[in-house]
Amino acid sequence: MVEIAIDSCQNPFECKKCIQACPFNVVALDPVELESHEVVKKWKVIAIFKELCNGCGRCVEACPEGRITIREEGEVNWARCTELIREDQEFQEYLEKGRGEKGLR
Amino acid sequence: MCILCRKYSTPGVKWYFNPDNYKRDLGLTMREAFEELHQKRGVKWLAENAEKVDTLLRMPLMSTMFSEYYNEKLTEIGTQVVPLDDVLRILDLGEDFCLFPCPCRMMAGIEEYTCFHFGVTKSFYKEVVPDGKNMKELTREEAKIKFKEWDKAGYFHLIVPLEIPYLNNICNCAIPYCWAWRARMVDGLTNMLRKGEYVAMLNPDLCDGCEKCVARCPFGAIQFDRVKKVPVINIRQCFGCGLCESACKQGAIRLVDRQKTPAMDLW
Repeated sequence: MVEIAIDSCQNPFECKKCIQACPFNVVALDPVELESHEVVKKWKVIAIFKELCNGCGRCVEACPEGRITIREEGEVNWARCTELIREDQEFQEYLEKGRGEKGLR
Repeated sequence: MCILCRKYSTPGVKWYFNPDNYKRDLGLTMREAFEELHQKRGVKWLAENAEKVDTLLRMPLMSTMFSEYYNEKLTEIGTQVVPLDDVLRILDLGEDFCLFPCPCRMMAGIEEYTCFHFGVTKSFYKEVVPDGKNMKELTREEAKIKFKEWDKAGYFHLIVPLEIPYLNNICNCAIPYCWAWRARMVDGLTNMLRKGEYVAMLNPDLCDGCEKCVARCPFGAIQFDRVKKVPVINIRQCFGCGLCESACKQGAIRLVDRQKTPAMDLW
């Protein structure tokens, strides 16, 4: 597994070099702030579906400010996992209830 | 027939051909679901969910449970592959057609108007955004021409319910941008993108070995047999999108009902 660390710049929508460089679209745009329903105020660069990343390093080369770093053998982010599980009420209920009628599969 | 056909249609009619699933009254009761999706804006919703799925699926032990949970949850909001011929029939059932920029492509910084909506979306959207920004209206004839163009370009179509069983959206997806495609092919969330009601079958006698179908398959179901110079379609992998059928000038590939093949239980 390759771990990508992105320290997003202020206006990625204008530069977009890292996004265009990625062959699998792992590096993507995420609207952080919305002005109204369909107008985005602020974008951020994130990494999604890291399973697709093969560590080619094109994003690292593309960024003029050197904000992206990659390294091999990333570890599971336990803190984030726990956080996400706590946030998701429905998943919590599911965990408490067990797998219901279906039993262990 | 898939689970959805059994639940939301009469026997012998595919669920997306059931006119009841397009009724305006049914859509009007789903105001809340629409608000939830559009207040967060498609792209934001996708980014949040992608991060969550990505992180949780990497957790040892927990990942199996999480994918099961997500799959169960998604039986109610999943998407399904539909071929072009079925889309054209669906267009006759719907009304109030409009186009939005695709949120999945938006995440890659590309603005392309391929997110096709009908039914209650237009009126709901106009209430929220009165000037109709980012929305293009179009007629049924224009829509049909557009869909044929998209099919030619190699985009596959997904039918998306606002909330099951009300249908109001047809995607024109391209890999690697399509979020549903990623969830299914990368993370193995089966119900995020369900297979279509058909599978592709090849008649090797008619094939001239041009290999056009191989490159067009978004699901990697077609391999090329270098010895016999014909493609080999793996029906277990086939999603029935019909892109290979429309690429074949010889008419060697056609779609057959999934129920009449060994792939009948594979969704």
